[in-house]
Amino acid sequence: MTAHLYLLLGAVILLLIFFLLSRAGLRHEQNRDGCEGDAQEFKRDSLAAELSARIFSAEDPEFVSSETCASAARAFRQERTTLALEWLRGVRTQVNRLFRSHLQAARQNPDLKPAGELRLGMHFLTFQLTTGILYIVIRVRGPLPAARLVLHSLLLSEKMLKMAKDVVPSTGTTVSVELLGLDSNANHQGEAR
Amino acid sequence: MLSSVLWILGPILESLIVVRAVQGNFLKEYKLFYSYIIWVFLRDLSLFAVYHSWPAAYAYVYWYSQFFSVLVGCGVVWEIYKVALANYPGAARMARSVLLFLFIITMSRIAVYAANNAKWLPGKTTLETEREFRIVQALVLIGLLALLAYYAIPAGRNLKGIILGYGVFLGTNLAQLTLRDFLGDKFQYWWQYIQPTTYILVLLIWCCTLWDFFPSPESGLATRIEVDYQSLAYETRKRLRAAGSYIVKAIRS
Repeated sequence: MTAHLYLLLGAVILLLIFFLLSRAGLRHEQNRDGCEGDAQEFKRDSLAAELSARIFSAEDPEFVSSETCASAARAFRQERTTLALEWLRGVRTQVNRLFRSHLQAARQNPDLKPAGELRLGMHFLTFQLTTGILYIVIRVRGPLPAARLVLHSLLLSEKMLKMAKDVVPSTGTTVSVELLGLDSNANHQGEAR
Repeated sequence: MLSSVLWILGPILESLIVVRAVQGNFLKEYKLFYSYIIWVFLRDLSLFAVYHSWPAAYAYVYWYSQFFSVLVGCGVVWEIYKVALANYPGAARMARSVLLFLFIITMSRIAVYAANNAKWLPGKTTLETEREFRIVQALVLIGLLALLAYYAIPAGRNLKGIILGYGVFLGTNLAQLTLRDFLGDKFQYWWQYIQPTTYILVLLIWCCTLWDFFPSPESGLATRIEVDYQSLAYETRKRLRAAGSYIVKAIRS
């Protein structure tokens, strides 16, 4: 049994070295190909914000399903799903560029703080994971049920935050809000609606 | 006959690697790596002499010199770290923390094992000891490579060759040492062919990639190094949050 484990370890080491070597080259090529200039800022123009809100709104699908036949409504839902996936992919691409640009700057910065860098890496990973899950949910169920699911989980987490506040008044809030990717302004705006 | 050919082929390739570095005047660029090659070359010649003139001592000389080879091999991993991150002080700082952590974790495992065995050497045999140290080297090398991939640090042809060759050497060595330990003398017959063959493969990789000097490529990108790290990290975190809230807002409205 131990022997098998060691053999497996040997094979994994070899595979990892091949994989990481090719990955390092690939990432470098991607960086060289450009995107540096426009990656500095996360772009959110009002038109894009309005469009993205429209993708997840219930208004259009309800109107289409009330006015047209079932097959047309289904085709509309499919189109919306494609649009939502494309939008999410666009946001993820922007975030990837932004993070790559950060890494390019950080790797040459002699003041780099390993702990801060690890925290930032975790933030990025959390973002990738949550948007990855969202992508799967949109693909499987469509944008509307995905939006409902996100809203439901946000409400649940807000309830949990309140409960945590009641139990331990001074802790828990900041971390959870950070993990959700919400700033306080966004939170209040959401509640106001 | 075949094992003798493989045995002779090793020092020939090793000397070729060193000769090319001397001719191209780049021996000093990878000092520790070439020290390792020179050590292995001298060891191979000595072992050849011992095997033919004093066969009874061969096993002792082999295993004790092998243990020293493992230590010199650590220099190769150190060289990879030094060369790859020479122009990237931020990534080098990160690497020091991560690699130190990996090193402490893996060495503590060996120390605990050694303490439980009530011997100064961590394994029952030199073979087991070598395997444990190879695992430490392999994990540190993988950690280093993961950082190179994470920060997209370009490696030149020479450095890639050193990494690939040493990685293949570590991986195959680990598998062979395990089989030798697990199957015992039954594996000895195969060991005498498999071990030098894989080592020749490694030497061929080094021969091809270190034939000429290729410096590590520059990243060629204008970076924001003038910004201090705290504000850089703060900005990135802020933008990540902005992206998160943008998605949530779109879904909420």
